[in-house]
Amino acid sequence: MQWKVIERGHVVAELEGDLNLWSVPEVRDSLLKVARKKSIRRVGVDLRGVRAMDTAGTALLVELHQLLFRRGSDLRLRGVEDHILKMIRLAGLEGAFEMENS
Amino acid sequence: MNSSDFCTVEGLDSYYGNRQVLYDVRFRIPRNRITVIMGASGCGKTTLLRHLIGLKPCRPGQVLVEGKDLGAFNSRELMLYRRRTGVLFQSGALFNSLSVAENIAVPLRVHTKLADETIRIICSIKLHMVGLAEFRDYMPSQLSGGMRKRAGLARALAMDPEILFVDEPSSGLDPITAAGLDRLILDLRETLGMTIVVVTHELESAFQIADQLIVLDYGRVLVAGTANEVRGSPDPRVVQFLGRQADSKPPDLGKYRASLLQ
Repeated sequence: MQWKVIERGHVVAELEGDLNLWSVPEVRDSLLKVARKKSIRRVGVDLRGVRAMDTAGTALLVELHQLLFRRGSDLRLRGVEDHILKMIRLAGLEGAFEMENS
Repeated sequence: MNSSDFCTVEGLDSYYGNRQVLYDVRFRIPRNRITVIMGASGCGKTTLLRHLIGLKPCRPGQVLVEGKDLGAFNSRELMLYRRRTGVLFQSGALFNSLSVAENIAVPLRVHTKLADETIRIICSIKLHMVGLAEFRDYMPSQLSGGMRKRAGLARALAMDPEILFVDEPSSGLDPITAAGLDRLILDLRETLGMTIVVVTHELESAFQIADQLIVLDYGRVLVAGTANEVRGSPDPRVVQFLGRQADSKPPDLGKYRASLLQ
């Protein structure tokens, strides 16, 4: 996973590989550590490099969304391809996340 | 064995004591496909499922999982295989002392390093999938039979297994809920690429979801193929089963009469 700083308080995490119940614990530690910083107002998660995402990956996005929403910050998903969208839909969360095209 | 097969069954015989219940059963379970095993009550469907799960031992060479002999798995290999599988038993098989959500959490706590909060959210998602989002804190005893079955399915799905075995998913369910479960099974194949094996005698559901159908009768495979191939089978027992025609006389009538009259 790589972080890109877009501007002050706005970062993007670029995820790669499988986002599943085996990889989520490690990815979660990194994501939440940054998202909990008071200076962070917006977190982007770029999923373009994610080959497969299961329910655990979806749950991680929900957890990140909850954390940021409670603080008045927001989460934007990028690079959401069809297989990711299908998983989000299967979880009943279609439309729950803000998505960007770029 | 074809590389696209998750599992092959080759000449499987099965016994309870001296009574033989499966005879030379052979078929393939293709990866990322839905295989439906159907047949009349007592034809050996659940016994076959128990062999595929590794709950009932089989002789070497009779069941191959990705080309490896399930009958020769050591305890570690069996544990790793079971971690990749999800199973819904006929009864639902929930832990009665745990809430519905806690039941779903058990395999995640045992087998993964996921954080409690992630597990809590996964449980909510699984309960949503089976239409029980409002019942996470209920105890199994507070649920109807059909709801327990759906909760059992949510637990079977907890780990997003590579292969899902489902025994009679629609029994005890109203037609609308049963159709919803059929839709979910199709979505799981489509979205997560699951390999799914469903045991059922519900004809409508079987033809709705199956990529491949296996029809068992008295422990033997009568026909295996696509829905159209099974519908077109000239076998009189297949025709009778699909036409829901009762036996003209009980098959064990002779034994029954002899036991009473001789």
